[in-house]
Amino acid sequence: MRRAIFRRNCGAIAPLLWDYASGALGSATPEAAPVTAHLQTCDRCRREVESYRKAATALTASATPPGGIPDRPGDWDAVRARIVAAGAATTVVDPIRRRANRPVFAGAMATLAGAGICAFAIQHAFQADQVRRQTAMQALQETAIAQAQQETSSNTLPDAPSLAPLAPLAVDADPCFLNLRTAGVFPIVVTLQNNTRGSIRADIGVEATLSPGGNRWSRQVDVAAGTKRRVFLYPSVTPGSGLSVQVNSPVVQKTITLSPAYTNDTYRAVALIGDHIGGLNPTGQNTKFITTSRYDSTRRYDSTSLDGWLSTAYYARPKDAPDRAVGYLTSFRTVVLDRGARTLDAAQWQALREWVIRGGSLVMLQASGPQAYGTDALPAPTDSVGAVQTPFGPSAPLRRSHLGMGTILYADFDPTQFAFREWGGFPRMWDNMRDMAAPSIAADTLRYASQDADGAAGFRFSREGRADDPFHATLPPMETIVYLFLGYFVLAIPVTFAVLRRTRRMNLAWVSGPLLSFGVTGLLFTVSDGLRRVPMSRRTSGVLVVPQGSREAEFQGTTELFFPQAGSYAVSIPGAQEISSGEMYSAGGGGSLRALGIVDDGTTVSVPHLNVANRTYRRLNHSQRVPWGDGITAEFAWDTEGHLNGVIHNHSGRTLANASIILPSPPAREKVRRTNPYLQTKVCYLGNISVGDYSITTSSPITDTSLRTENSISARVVASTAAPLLRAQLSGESFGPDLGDWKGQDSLVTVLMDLPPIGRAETAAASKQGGRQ
Amino acid sequence: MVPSEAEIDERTLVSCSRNGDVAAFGKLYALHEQVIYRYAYRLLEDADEADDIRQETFVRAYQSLSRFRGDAAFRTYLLSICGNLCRDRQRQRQRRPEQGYGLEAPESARANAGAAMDAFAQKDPLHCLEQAARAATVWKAMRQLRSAERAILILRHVEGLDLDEVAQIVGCSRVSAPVRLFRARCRFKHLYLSLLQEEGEI
Repeated sequence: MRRAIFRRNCGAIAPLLWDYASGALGSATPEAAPVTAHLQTCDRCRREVESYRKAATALTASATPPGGIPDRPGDWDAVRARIVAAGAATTVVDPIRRRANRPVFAGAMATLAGAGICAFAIQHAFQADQVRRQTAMQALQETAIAQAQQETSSNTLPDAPSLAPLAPLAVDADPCFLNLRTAGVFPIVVTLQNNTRGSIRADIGVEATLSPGGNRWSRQVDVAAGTKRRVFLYPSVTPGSGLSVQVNSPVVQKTITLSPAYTNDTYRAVALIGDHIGGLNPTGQNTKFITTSRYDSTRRYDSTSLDGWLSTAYYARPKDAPDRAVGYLTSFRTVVLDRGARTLDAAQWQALREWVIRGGSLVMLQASGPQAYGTDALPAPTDSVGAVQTPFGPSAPLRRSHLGMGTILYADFDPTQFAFREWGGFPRMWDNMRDMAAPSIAADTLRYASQDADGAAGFRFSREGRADDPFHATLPPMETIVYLFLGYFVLAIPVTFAVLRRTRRMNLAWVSGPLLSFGVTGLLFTVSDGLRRVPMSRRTSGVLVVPQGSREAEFQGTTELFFPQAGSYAVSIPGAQEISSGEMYSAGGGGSLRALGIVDDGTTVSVPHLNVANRTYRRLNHSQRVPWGDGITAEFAWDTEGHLNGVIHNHSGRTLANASIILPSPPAREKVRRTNPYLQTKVCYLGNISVGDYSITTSSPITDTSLRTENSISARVVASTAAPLLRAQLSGESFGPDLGDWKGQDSLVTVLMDLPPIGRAETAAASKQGGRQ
Repeated sequence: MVPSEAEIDERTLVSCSRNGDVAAFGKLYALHEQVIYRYAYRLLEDADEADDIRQETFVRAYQSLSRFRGDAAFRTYLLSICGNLCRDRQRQRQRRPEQGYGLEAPESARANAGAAMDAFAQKDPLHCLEQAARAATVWKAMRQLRSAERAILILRHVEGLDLDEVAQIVGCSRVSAPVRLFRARCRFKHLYLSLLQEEGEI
């Protein structure tokens, strides 16, 4: 047995070869026998023995005699002298004991010492930095105080009050609206007052304390020396969540906590904007006439199921009015402006305009048109829709104009007068006014519709199967991976090893090992083909509102993103005013919402780090302005026989599919009652219309609505009809971030366009009005 | 194992020395100084340093005689002290290379040549020249070994010590000593043969 092993195994006899070759083993000893036997069969070892023999002979020969060593006789006397001088045999160190590995020890000590020095230096630098920062702050404060004192001393007043020390950067954060209760966008305004002589850059970060995943909104602003800056931010809150506003600047770090109230019945909300709004102030007693719902007043419905219809009112000072439409989008149906709102700046007017286009209902008091407020953001042409008959003087004219999906009502009287407030007919008058200001499609309806439409057409976030997955992005099945690794570890490696060993080419393992692992990697790569091939993809869907004659459209909807591979992506949506987190579905599980770090640079909102897992679908809701070019022009007219004739011109070459015309009517109470309470608008679908010239016949009546005042003896009838709308769908148009096209379907956007007023409606209304009068 | 007469004698001398008998230690010195000197020279290849190390070895040995347990031969004890001192000396050299590592080669070469000439006078000249050349190659190869490998080869094959002793001197276990020796032999063989090949002898 042993012989057999030796015969095979060169490695086992290798240590014996030297002694064998040099003859030290002795040819007759039992240890030598297997070597001899092996050498008879193994050429390689025979050669080895030969080389050992050479080396061993040479080494032994060079040792005897000890030639080549210069002769130095030992000097015993010197040793003796040293021994005697050192005294008796006293041992201090054990000479045989190995010394500590000094280089390693020294290195360790040096590292420790270096670490200590570094720690000390960092600590010192940190302290120095703090001191420097404090000093800088003090200097800034002193400068500010000195400046203030100088101004005070130059004041001509003899007894100028002594000023409290000014903070270098005074920071304050408030909700835009008092009494706002919402679960959604909660606009806040951060006020930054720079009291120094230099410009200060401040980072504002807002976090919702209970937000799913901890979304964060941030913005960086520069505040010029000696100026005040108001920055609007539009964070989203969930019920019960607080808002934490952090302001970081070189001179001030401050955290302000806001606690938004929450209610789920805000869709009848009214926002009031104005300094002189007086009796309309929701904090006062006389807001009832605005907030009372007509359904409560008529008592025709089950009050328990209609609790949600109760309205609330919110109040904003004009300077706190949001500067983006998103500030009005979540909860409000109606915005009322009084004279104080004449101080709104261009951005705030633009926000109101965009909100109206998206289905807002705006009431402007004490004005017969937008000129009274000194703004050119709102359309000038207005229609008279009647007048309010009150017992206190001449009737007040009501005028109205349409813009996009929304409506603007101008009421030229001052409801804040004491006499008006005490008048019992006010609730009903307000109800009627609100009816008249009703938009073609209300903002919140449009908002929900844009998300619903998308949900119907887009990817369904179901966890079962791949039926809903347009990409079929697949990881290899688990068995494949298991077999692959089994084959690698159990088959490939041992077999290679055995073969190499058998052929005595073990040094080839340096090559075969890496080759095998590359091969396995390649196989893995091949079987995960389904994941690798799938492109990153996006699709946008939602509603695009094109106001008549405008070159800009307002988009509101959702962009769906598909990420085949996990990572951190930068998503930027040009012109977006708001990005909020929609649904998310990740194939590997973890369908919960992940945090969005939303960065707002004042003009564009983006998400620079969107973290996703493998095979993730993510929806981002956003609203933005979209350039529309020449867009669609449509002209319609009723002929005398009740036919609607019209032409749709599509100048830009875009394809409009499934066009239809909707005739929205003001809400007719009886018809709306038992339908969707969100739907205030009765729509008439006139069938599908393709792009081109055509003629439509409709039998739908133009409904009338009446404005009644409670104590009017003969009801005054005001006939009206809203402008008809064109609805169409736009495919393949890019509205979202540029990530590549959706593999499944194109972007599908519903286009809503208000058409020019149709003559016959007015004539019909006029004839009816005339008839009743 | 019954100790031989010489061993008994050595033990007596050691115990006398331990009691302060310098003369007894002198006898021990006379017995072993050549071995120590040779070993130091082969490790350091510098006669002056080897001489120095020899002196230092005996001084150290005397000072720490109380630590010498007597379970090994005194020679082993001395050689291990010597090996440690040589190692320290080599480290010093590595730290201060300007102290002329290059000077040894000429000296040993000269010495080798001298030995060869002596042999030339006595024996077959061709054989002697050849042997001297071989010896030079051997030491050239030895110089390229690591110092631990060189030490183990010298102890085993030049001084002819047995493996147990070598293990004690080098400071490794009896199990690992053959392994070290095997590696040192392999390296030496490889270096030596490649040197020979360079010199065109194969």
